[in-house]
Amino acid sequence: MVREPDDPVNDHVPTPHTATFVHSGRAALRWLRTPLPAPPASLRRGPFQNGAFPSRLRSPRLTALLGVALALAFGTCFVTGLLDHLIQHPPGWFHWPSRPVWLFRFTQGLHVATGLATIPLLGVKLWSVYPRLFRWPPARDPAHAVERLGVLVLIAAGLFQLVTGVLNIALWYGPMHFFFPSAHYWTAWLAIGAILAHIGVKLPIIRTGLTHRPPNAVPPGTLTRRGLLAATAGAAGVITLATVGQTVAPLAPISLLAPRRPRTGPQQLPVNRSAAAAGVRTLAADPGWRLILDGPAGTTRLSLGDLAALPQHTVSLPITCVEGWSADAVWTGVRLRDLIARAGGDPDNHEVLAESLETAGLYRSSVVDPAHAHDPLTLVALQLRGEPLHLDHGYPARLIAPNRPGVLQTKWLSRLTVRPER
Amino acid sequence: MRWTRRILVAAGTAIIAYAVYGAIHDPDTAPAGQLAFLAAVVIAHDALLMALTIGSGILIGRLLPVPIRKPVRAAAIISLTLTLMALPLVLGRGRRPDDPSALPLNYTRGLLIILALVWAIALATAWRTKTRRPNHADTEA
Repeated sequence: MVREPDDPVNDHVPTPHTATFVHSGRAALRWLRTPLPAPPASLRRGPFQNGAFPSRLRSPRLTALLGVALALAFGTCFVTGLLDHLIQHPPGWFHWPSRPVWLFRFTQGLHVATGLATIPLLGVKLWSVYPRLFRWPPARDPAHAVERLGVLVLIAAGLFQLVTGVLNIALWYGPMHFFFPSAHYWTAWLAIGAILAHIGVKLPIIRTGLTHRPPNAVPPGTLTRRGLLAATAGAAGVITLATVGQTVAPLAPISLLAPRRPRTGPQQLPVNRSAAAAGVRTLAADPGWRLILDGPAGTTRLSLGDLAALPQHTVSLPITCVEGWSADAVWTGVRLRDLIARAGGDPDNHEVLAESLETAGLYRSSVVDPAHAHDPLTLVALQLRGEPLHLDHGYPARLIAPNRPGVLQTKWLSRLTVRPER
Repeated sequence: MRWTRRILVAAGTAIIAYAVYGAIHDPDTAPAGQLAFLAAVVIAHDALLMALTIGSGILIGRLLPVPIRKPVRAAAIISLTLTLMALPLVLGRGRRPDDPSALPLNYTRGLLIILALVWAIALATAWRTKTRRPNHADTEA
């Protein structure tokens, strides 16, 4: 009987094809480990010289401790950011609940607060390994060169995420010659992949750093390891206190650098996109405005008076922006599920496409899935804090639902389409 | 540990490949602009910011008396990172005339107030260290 040919380990008679493969694989591994010729010593100047960085504070332990904190911070930002992405672009398997009401406000507030607190962490971590940028020779062998390239990707992606994130909450898009949400999303994958590979490469030294405590042999007047870690934590704390009031309202008075104030804006509520920016001022203020309600039972056109004549409900729901701010507000209007029933749909298995008067723009429409559509807190709101909605808050009618990003709380509603869930 | 490392490196490399593939194929991205920005942040950090940081550390070590160096170093770290974070807000280039609720505060004033507080605490600490334990300051080295 002929033996199976695909068992080279046991019979030591590999087929020619396998042999070539194994051979070339081994050759590649050997090549990766072939020492590279050292560059001429005359090039070893400035920061490349021995002793160019005299600080005794740098140690594997310092870097490992900062690295663990940084991995946790980036991990938190990655998970919360991915969650926001899934909510805004839900794949078939993803379902986001309407309760608890505060959940998205918490995860997105955490995303931005963690990202901001990461600035000193990343800065000090990179300081702790900065001399390695100038190591000599620059690469021992091709494998080492590949690893250093991976570190470059990691640093670039990490800095990119923090810088673009800060520019985004400062609403300064000029320096970014790309679409921020997509770039921030894909670079997040880049960063998280580079972090995992980096941890894999550095695992032995991380372990040493975490288990061995080298003596703190720093000269007088220099921060000790504990002192530097305390200063880093202090910087993270100051940044957090200076900004977190944009979502934690009681801290707003001391958050002198918050990009938003939860009670600042028309009707004491911040605005993300004004009616002027959306180009809907004329249409929204038109007394001839009608909300088109489309569903299995046909199409009806409801005036503001018709909507106000329906049973009104008042709910307290936050507006949560993906930029990390959120604010409580009190809304009055018609329950969306009442409108679904009126259109001939069943709120338990029908979704609603909510369209704005805006003719263009990424957020001119949103889909309200059944979880949110049948929630009694979900309203087509006509009033904010007892007054008709301000034009910038979506007059004559807007959507407000629990536990959703603000960009999906469609303003200046023009049409609701009730349809079976897709 | 060997296999943990291999799995981490393999998973990380696969995710990096996914990120690159995704960024290239996403119709909303501009790979050239993104690549330029990635390069710019690395150069700005490695060439400018690190030089500034290390240079400041050297200056503190040369110019200031030993007992007050530590609180000054700590305050400098906090000031530098806070200022970097606040810079886009202070410049206020994202302000929009149609939306006064965006960037509603005077961020120059806010930054100066916080920096003043940080330095007041640092100098108070330095003064206390200097007066309380003139012979013991910084002797743990």
